[in-house]
Amino acid sequence: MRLAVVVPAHNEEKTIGDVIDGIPRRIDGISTINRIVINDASIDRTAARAKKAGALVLSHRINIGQGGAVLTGIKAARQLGNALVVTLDGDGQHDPDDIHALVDAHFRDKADLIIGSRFLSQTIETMPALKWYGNKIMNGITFTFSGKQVSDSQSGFRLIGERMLSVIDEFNMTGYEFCSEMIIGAKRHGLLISEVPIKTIYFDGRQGQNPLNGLNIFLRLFYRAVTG
Amino acid sequence: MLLTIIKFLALALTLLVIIKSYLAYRQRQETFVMFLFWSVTWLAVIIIAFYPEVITAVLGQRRLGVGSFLGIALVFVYFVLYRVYVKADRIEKRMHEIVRQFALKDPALSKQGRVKSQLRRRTKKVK
Repeated sequence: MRLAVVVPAHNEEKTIGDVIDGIPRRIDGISTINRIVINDASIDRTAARAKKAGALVLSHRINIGQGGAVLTGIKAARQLGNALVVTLDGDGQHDPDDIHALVDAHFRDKADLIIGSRFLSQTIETMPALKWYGNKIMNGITFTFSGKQVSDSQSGFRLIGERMLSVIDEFNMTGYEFCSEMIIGAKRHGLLISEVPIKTIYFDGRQGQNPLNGLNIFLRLFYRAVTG
Repeated sequence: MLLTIIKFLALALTLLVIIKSYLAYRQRQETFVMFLFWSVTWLAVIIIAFYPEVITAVLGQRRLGVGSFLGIALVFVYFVLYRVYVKADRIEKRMHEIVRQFALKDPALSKQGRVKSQLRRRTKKVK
């Protein structure tokens, strides 16, 4: 089975090399691992660093957001014939070694969408309080629209299975609301969603999601729910 | 006091819009007709803000009061807001799709795809 690791990146020259280098070379049950970086119109040397680390780099000419970059990466992965896709952030907040846990969970549970949850792990204590509350609010918003209770609806560290990949063309949100949209879409199609604990690395200067972005995400999800 | 604030706000916003529209016209980002349209529209806002009795004079006291006029204006503004939001959303989606298509046409992707399929064919032959 072929697996692609998709890393959306916007101005991540300091971390992208280590993230790509950290992706496991071998994973049980996986024959080939493609490493794909979607350079979302970075103005620094993100693309060059990722290419040097051995990733396939595809660049957006203008910045369209994290969700849009993930979607481009997933489509590229599908084009290369991958049956599984793992997405993780390019800023180094995820430990690429946790990919093993996501793949194991996929083979064990047969889930179509596996979310790497920061809230199920011991390292959650390092999350700043404002972000902690912001994430909890986003979980509530996601539950309102999907009816699915998850502990970390905004985690960018995910595994997407074959059945989920087959319906991915329905998704078109491009910002952080993409995280919730994916859960809503999976639930609508009756796909199986599960979670595994992942380590979280917080550090100074990390961009991440603005905790006050929740209202914007809520409005976008509401608009999408109304207009279809 | 409240009326003074409203007048001040109306004046500031009108100046802002007209100056921005004029600059856009000068930079050929906007047509002269559009510049004229925004100028006239916002001058009308100024007139209403400074002389609200104009509404009564033009429309008549019994047929339409100031409150009703503002209510209708608010509904109209919300309708315009909705139309602009829908159109902006549509354009944004199309633009994102174009950006994605450009990225997916990168020769590196098709090259990697070709190499992988050649490898698969060779592996099958060996088997």
